[in-house]
Amino acid sequence: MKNKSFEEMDKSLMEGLKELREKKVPPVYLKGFSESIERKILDQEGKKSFVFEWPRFTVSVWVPALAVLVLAVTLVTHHPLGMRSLTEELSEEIDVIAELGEWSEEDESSLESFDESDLEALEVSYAGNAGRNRLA
Amino acid sequence: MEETIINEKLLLERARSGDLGSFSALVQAYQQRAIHTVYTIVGNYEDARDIAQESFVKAYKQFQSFREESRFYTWLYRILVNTSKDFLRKKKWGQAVSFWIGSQDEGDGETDPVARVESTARTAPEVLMDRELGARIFEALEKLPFRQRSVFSLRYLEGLSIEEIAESLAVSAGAVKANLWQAGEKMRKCLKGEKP
Repeated sequence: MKNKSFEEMDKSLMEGLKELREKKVPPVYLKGFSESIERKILDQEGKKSFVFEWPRFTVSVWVPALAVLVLAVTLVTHHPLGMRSLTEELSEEIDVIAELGEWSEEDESSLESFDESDLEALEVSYAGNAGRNRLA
Repeated sequence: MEETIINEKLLLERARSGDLGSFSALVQAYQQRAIHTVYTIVGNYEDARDIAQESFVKAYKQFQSFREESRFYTWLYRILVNTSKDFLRKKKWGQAVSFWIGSQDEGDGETDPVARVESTARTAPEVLMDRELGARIFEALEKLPFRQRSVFSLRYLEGLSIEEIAESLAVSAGAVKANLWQAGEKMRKCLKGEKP
């Protein structure tokens, strides 16, 4: 695009379209134009103030509830017996059960042959240990 | 002239602080130019009036974004052009939809907004006026991409300077000239009956 040719084209179009440029908008389209805009603005402002009441009401009700919820979640996730330790315990239990495998007939029979005196001995030894612990 | 500028400044200050009366005075001062500008882009007065009204409502809402260093009418032109662009995009989409489903919904023409746009597109006096004042120019303009069309309209049908168009559309003066050149070439071919 040469600057001279642009200027020529620009000048000729400006002259050629002068009549169209100076054409006035028919008065029928201007009648009540600004009043209509005022009405639209006022209508929209009216709707806006009506909608504004809702969030204020909603916020006042839900803020304490949300605060309690956030506190509860924080407590659960940060407490030693919270979510993390619970999941760890659960996974350990799953590991132990996996190692033990399926409960068989042999396991059942070995339980039946369990001597109760062994259990008593265990209880005595446990009581003894507890006593030592207390003395210590 | 100086008095008018001072008055406009005062009206702008008041309108910015939310005075609707001052804003209405600005609307009355610019309504003729606003409708004419949109008319040169969309090609009919019914739509031009609706788009201009929508643009003024947008301008009132966005008054906080108006900066004193830019002129009010160049800022308003930007809103007018963008609103016209949205309108033409919706109209184009609507035409595509009505082309596909038109045969099924012929009876609903009165309630369908797209059909309403089509029915109000050109009234008889407008068609007659356009014929007198350059219907062929509007037909050729419709074939241009939106940027070229808006730049051409603002320059040759609205009389804005290259700098004012650049300010209104937030582009460089060089970009305005390039678009004007391309639009001018295509218009010349269209008006000669050649393919642009």
